[in-house]
Amino acid sequence: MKPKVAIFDLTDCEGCEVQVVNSKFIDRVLGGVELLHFRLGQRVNRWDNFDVAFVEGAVITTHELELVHNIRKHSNIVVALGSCACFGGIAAINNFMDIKEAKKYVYGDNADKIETLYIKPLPEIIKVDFMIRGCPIVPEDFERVVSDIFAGRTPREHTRPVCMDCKSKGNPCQLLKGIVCAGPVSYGGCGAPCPSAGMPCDGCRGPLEDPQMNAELELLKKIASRDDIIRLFRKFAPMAPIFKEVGGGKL
Amino acid sequence: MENIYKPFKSKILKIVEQTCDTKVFRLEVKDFKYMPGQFVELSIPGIGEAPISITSSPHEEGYIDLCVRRVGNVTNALHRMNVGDYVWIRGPYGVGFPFETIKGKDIVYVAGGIGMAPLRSSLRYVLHKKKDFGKVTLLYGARTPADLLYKEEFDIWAKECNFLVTVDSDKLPDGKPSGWKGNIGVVTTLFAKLGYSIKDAIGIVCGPPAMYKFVIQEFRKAGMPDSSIYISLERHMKCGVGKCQHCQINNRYVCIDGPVFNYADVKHLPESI
Amino acid sequence: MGKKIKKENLEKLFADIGKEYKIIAPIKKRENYVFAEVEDFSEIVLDYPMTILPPKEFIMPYKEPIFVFENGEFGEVIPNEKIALFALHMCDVNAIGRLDFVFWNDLYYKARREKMLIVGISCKPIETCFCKSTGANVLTNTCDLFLKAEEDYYVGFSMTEKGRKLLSQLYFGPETVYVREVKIDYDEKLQFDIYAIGKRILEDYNNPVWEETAKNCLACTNCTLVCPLCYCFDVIDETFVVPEEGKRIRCWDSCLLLSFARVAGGHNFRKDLKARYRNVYTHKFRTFVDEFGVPSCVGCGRCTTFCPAEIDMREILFRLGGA
Repeated sequence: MKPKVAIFDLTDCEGCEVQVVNSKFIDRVLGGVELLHFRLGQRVNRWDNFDVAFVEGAVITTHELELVHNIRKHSNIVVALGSCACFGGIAAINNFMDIKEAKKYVYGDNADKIETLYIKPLPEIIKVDFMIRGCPIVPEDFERVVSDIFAGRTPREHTRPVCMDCKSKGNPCQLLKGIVCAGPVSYGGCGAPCPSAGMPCDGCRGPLEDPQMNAELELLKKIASRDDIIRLFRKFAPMAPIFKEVGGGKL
Repeated sequence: MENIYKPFKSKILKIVEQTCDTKVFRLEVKDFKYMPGQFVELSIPGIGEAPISITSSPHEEGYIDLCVRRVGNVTNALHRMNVGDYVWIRGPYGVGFPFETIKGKDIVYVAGGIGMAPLRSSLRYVLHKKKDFGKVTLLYGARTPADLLYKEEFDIWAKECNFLVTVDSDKLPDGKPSGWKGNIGVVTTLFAKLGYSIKDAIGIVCGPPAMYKFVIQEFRKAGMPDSSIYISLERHMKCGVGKCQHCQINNRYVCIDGPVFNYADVKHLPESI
Repeated sequence: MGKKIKKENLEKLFADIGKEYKIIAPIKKRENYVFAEVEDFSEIVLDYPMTILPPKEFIMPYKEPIFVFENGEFGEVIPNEKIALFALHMCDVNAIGRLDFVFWNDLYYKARREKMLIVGISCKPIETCFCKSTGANVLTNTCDLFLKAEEDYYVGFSMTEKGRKLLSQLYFGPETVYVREVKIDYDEKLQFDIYAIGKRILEDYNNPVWEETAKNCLACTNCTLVCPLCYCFDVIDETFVVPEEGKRIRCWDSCLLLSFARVAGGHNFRKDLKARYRNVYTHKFRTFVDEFGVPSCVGCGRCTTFCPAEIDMREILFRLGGA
């Protein structure tokens, strides 16, 4: 029997789902699975018990909260897809603001009609078996995790900082240019697309295991303002451990 | 030119379940010369490669036994395999126990947990050539009775050598009583039960990282010089041929200088135990 | 004994080499210098100060497949390319010579290296250089052809048969120049007795320098990646969906990573960054010396130049008492 697979999305940009489509998923996996739910990719969707459910996006409404509990109940393996699911993502900027004012700023007079929860990463709401990090995810990571799950292996965690991806491409160091960069403390494996394009790393994949955050902050303080540093760690993985504290002003 | 990373194919001849997470795999080999204490790199294509110590004795021909605990992807995949399936191996690597030096002497083996695997190879070899060695003792400790390896050989060991076994706890992993009637306590508590002097014996240790220090203390207390103590060390030997640096302990490589070291040679070496 | 070559004739040499080899040479990329494949001689910057990555990536790439799995069998992927490394500084040339010690019985390394042509060139040592201390400032036979810069010409020295063949070409002038020894000589700011440091580095295990440096170190691995002699590697099986179809990949690793000395089951033998950082030095100045008689450092200064935390290797060596 073919494994039953679902891809759900919550509050997000659907970018990670696009990356799923960009991966070899359609070519190599789709024929071997029963894709029961994929709102972005197919018209007819249905619920069943899923072998693997991928969840993209942040939980921001009570409806979404119920949905993820439901997904957990119906799924053997739940994979958090992308940094919104893994670490709250862009939407979790809310957590650092006065919610009332933020809503008023965005929705004006309709602010009262809009519901917004304090945004928790998916692993703090339901049990998540694996995380595929990134904003967006990289197709290779998705392919690898899918392969591992189907082969019954535990997906390997990346243990290398973004700096390793970056320097292996021969890029000059952003920090040495005086640009605020989260590369040394950030979870690698992305291939460093940002520094390769001349942009610093925003740490979208969250912290590396054992990040040297003290050393990183000491260094950043020499080249940037407190606000710049806070902004950097609040950007894409604001609710990730360690980033959360720095983004919250503990530096 | 020979490819030092290329493994050869080997058939699984036999699988013996030891505990809930440990099995012994018998692999078919031809003209495979090794000494107790050496290890092989075991490959499963697409999963990876892992260093595993040999647990059989060189006098057994046509096969090697690997005692494998399920801890990573390679070992998990191996545990799912069946008799008749193929794995890939290369080796043997490293240096084993120095039997030339040990010859004629008493031996005290101290094994903890999966550390029994390489020591069983050595013990089996020594018992096979019993007249070449003095009195042989095996002190063996495991977490619970359910974690003891090679239970089927306990009777033989009890007959052929001075065999003492202990468990940290007589409860089974699920907390239920096991009916264990033997010793309870860490492996070092067995030293008090030896009843003879091991001052002039050779001490051989293999176990979890935390164990070495305490066992060596006991050896020293018994008057054994450091140069009579041999330790078999665990590291993640990725290449097995002294290149990848993963098993390096300062200026020694576990994969080519070890895994068996004379304690006197490495005791000054930080990070060794 | 060397032979003169006019600056304008270097292009002829380049073209000649290009007939047989893919040429890798230093070029300018934005504000930095890198080694890259070059087809046009004018792209090359002959008087470059320092490239970011050393040329090691052309002998052992960051990621290279060593086996392909075909129906569960191991198929070898043997590299088959003739590469010329053109205009290498003495330190980078000698770093390759020292890598040869480690990898000469490695099929993949040797396949590339044996077919390789190495052309060295004079350099102007910069502030962070200390090749003299490491003994890597002297011409060795790792270099097929060395171009020593003079006022308005170069003197070519051949150290191998491949080099002699090039030196016999007409673009090298007929007259010979006699030189006793070809080496890079300059006033080294800090000079170290590398071997003395290596001898006592294990006894000096608790030197406060390790603790202090580890506080600033980001464990970003930049220093080990830019090092021409950091060669440790990891081996990973990469597959997609079907495990029988995939590759076994060899990939650069770094002993600064927490995962480096971890064993199955989770125990880590070098958990503290202090121990991991120290390991870089104990390997370079002790382990490698014990194995091959020279340090696995050529004093190229890249680790110091490209450290985002501005940790200066020379300062550490100085504090280890080798000055």
